[in-house]
Parts: sequence; structure tokens; C-alpha cells
Amino acid sequence: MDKKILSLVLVLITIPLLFSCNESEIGIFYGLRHEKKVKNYALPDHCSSETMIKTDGYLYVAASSIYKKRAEGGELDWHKIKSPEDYHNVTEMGLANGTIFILAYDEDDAVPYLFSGSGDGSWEKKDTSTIEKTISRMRVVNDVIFITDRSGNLYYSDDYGDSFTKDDSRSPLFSTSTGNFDITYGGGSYYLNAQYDLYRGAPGGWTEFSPTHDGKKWKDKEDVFNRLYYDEDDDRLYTADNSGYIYAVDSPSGASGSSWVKSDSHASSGMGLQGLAVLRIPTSAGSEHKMLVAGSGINAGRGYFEVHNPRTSNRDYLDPKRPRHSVEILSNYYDYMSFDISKAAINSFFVDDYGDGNFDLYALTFGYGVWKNTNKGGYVRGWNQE
Amino acid sequence: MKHLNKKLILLLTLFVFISGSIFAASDDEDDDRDTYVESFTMGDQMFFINGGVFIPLFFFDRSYDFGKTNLTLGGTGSLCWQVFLSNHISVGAELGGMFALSPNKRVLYMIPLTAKATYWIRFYPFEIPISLGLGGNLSILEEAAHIDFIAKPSIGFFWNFNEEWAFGANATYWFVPQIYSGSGMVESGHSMFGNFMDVTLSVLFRF
Repeated sequence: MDKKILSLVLVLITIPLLFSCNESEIGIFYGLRHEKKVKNYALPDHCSSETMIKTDGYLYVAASSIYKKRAEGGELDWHKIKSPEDYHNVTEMGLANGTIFILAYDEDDAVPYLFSGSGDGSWEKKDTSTIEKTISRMRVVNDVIFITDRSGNLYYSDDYGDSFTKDDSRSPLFSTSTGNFDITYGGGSYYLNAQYDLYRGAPGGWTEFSPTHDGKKWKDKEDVFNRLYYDEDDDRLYTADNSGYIYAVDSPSGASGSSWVKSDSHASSGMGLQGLAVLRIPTSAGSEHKMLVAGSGINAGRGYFEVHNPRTSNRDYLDPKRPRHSVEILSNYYDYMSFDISKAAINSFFVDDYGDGNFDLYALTFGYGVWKNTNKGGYVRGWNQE
Repeated sequence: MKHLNKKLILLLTLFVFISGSIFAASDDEDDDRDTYVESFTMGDQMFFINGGVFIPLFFFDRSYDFGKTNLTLGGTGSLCWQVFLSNHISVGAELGGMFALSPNKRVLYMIPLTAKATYWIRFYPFEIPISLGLGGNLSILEEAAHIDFIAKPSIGFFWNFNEEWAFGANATYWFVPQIYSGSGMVESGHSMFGNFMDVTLSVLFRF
């Protein structure tokens, strides 16, 4: 009997040793002590969203339905506004000349159509008869509406959606029918990323923007590139690839536009990076801390990465890293992580800038809702699901 | 009618007989209790089953900055085996478990395994065990886990039903210093000392 009991005790003692102790990043008790309730501000928890816009003092987000609220912290709750009658599932949104443009699907969820509106719930269906095939994707940049169809052709409208012109200089963009693309504008030039190829110029007048890296031309690369982000203050163009590397080029519209720098390391576990944004955060010392934020892509891992003081002078200076709490110590507002978004694939970021270094950073995720990170004069990891 | 009367008489007789047996047995047990004096010798063993409420108290860090745990009231339970070294002292081991919820409904689990020593104060038919458990505690929160030291002082109050069974209640303090050296992902400044307690009902079986 005593031997049996002794055996039982030994077994019980070994049970905890069998657990592999995965470290939390901040400590279990420490995290609990600083945890705050995540408040839900009416957006569906599991919605997917790619685009948010700000106009006339309001923020709008396309998350299957369209939601709006006052910008710059003027309102916490989102309000659903009417989608076009008989159309639903609004997937993309853009702003041109103060008018909101959306792609909304028909009742069969098969074909998206383009609508314009002022954000009050009334929508006008746009004439897209010049677009040869079914619409695939939309980007609105610098008041120009770009659309691809399912043959990979590129169209643009510089008259706010009244007419669309096929961009023969770059059609088709893709070898596949439904390729992803991104466009940004800065320094007097447009930049077009068609997964494996990069172009610069203007609608209807694209030229190959063929930077090299690792001795290879851009288009020789097998991995696809995702979002583009132009940082106006530094006159720098960023992109990231599906292996988690970040690329940057200074003065992209100039002659040095081919001198791309690729980060030395990639995001942990080789997560592809998708959304990008640059934040400028005032520090307690009165200076400014620059931070590039990057979100993991849909087909890779999950989570959110940072590059502090990104520079092109050295490859190391572009390495994406998981946020570390040590950064918060610099802050004069110590309010640590209330909840993380480490499970989310982040399609894009949106910065609602209040001025004077204050902003709300929104992360638009795939299937994990919209999250907000409020900067209160410092580095704050207080992500809150909207 | 006669048959009915006979049956009725038979039933009443049976009822009186059974009742008498029961009451007689109860009287016997009462007599046993009146004359029973607890006396344990080295090697006598006992087994406890405890269950009750887990009460989060507070955290404090290395600079004695106190703060809330942000946990809800939780549930706890444990199994404990002990052997008597003398009439008043027993030692053994206890395996427990608890759960409580964070503000975002994340579940904290803690599984302490302790070596336990108890001193028994007796005034029949009641007993007051005063114990100290020392051992390891596995904390689990979502995908994170950490093993820490734990100290669990406790006090109880038991009523002896008979020489084998006793029923009672315990109040136990859980002191869990969660120390990080800083060599891993968590910096040492995030070390935190957890303070909790539980109040449980307990069933004790001696053999």
C-alpha cells in the first residue's frame, strides 16, 4: 500500500515537469495585472476589412457593411450606414475628390459593382461598361480610381468615376486572372506594384521601375510583394514581401530610385508582411521617434511587427521585430498592452492623425475585426477591438 | 377485508421492526461517538477531497507596488494524501487546481503540487488542522505557462462523523512568487508576487 502511494506521489510530482513552459512575452501575472477589458464598439468581431478613409471629420470603414464614426477620437461607437439597395458585402472603399467610392456585391455575391456616395447612405451606381470583364479590385489614390478586372487588365478614372480608361501601358498586369495589386503616390509620381513587377509614372504612362537587390532584378524575384507605402517626410517608398522582408528606397521618383535596400532579417517565422504605415511619436524628451509598423499577411502567420527608426543606410535598420515592452519605458505614458492582436492577419493600417503627434492607429484585419491603438503621447500597446 | 387487515398488520409490524433497528443503530453510533477518542499513530493515513471558491487577492512587484489581479472569483479543488507521524502531526502531498477569468474572459489555471505538513489541534468531536504546503505551481494562461514556487498555509475546521469520516472547511492562502530572471523573453522587472486564497469544503477519509 505504501509503495503504491509513494508511486502515486512520484507520478504527481512529475506531471508539471511534463508541461513545456511557453513564455508569455510579458509575464503571466504581470499581463493579468495590466489587462483591461476590451470594449467592443459595434464592429463585428470577425469581420474582414481592407480599407478605411477619413473625410469631412468622419472615419468610414468597409467591413462587409459600411460603418462610420467621428474622427480624431470624437466618438467611440461605429454606426452602420445603408449599403446600396440590393447590394451588399462592401469589400473595398476609397476617396476621390471628397466622394466615397465602394465596391459592393450583387445579391448572388458573385459580381462587384462600383458605387459613389457622400456617406449619408445614398449611393449612385457608376457606369463601368468600358471595363471588359468583371471587376476584381479597386484602389483610389490621389483622386484617381484604379480598377482591375478578372482578366488582369488595369483601368483608371481621373474624372471621379464618370468614365474609365483601359491602361494599355500596363494591361494585363498579371498572368493570373485575380492578382493583387497596390498603388501609392508620392513625390510627384505614382508607384504600381503588380506582385512581381513594380512600375512608376502616371496612369496611362507607366515605366518599369526595375530596382535590383541581391544582384537580381526585381522581376526575377520569385516571391510576391504586397502593399506599398510612401513616407512623405522622408521621401521614402516601402514595400514588403511574402517572406517577411521589408524593402525601402529613398527618393523613389529620382535617379536613385533603383537603390533599394532589403532588410537583413525577415519577420519571425518568415511571416509574410502586408500592411505598412509609418508613425511619428513624440517622446518625453521632446524629440520624435519614428516607427514603421507592419502587419503579417493572410497566408502566413499572424501578428504585428515594428521597425524603430527605419533607415536605408544599413540593412539591419529595416529588420521587422515583434514589439518589445522595453520601448514603453521611454514613454511618459506607461500603459502596457491591454490585449494583443497577435492572432490577426493585418491587411492594412490606417492612421487617424489628430496633429501634435497624437493619432489613432487602426489595424484592419482578415477575419479578426478592426483594432485601434491609441497613442496618448507615447508608445502604447493598448490595442482595442473596435 | 380480512386479507387487507392482515396485510396492514404485517406492514405495520415490519415498519416498527425496521424503525426500531434504525434508531437502535443510531443510538449505537451516538454511543460510539460519545466514547470515541481520536488517537493516531505513525503510519495511519488519510485522504482529503476539497472543493470551493478561489479568491484572487492582489499582486505586488519587487518594489512592493501593490495592484489588483483583475481576476474574477474562481473555482478550486484538490486531492490530498497524508500520513500521521504522531497523534498531532501528519505529512503528505497535495495536488490542486484552480481557474479564474481575466477581464477579457481569458482563463488562468494554476496547478499547485505541494508537500504538506499539518499539526492537528483536537477537541472531540472537532479538529483544527493547521498546515503548510510548499512546492511547485504551474500557471497557464492561454498558450503561456510558467512553473513557480508556491507556499500554501492553511487552517481548517473538521467535525468527525465517525472514526473514518470527517467533514469540514479550510481557508488556504496561496503565495506564488512569479520570478523572471530576464534571461528569457520576459524582463526581470515583470516579476510579480501573486497572493490568493481559497475557501473550501472538505471530506476526509482515514484508513
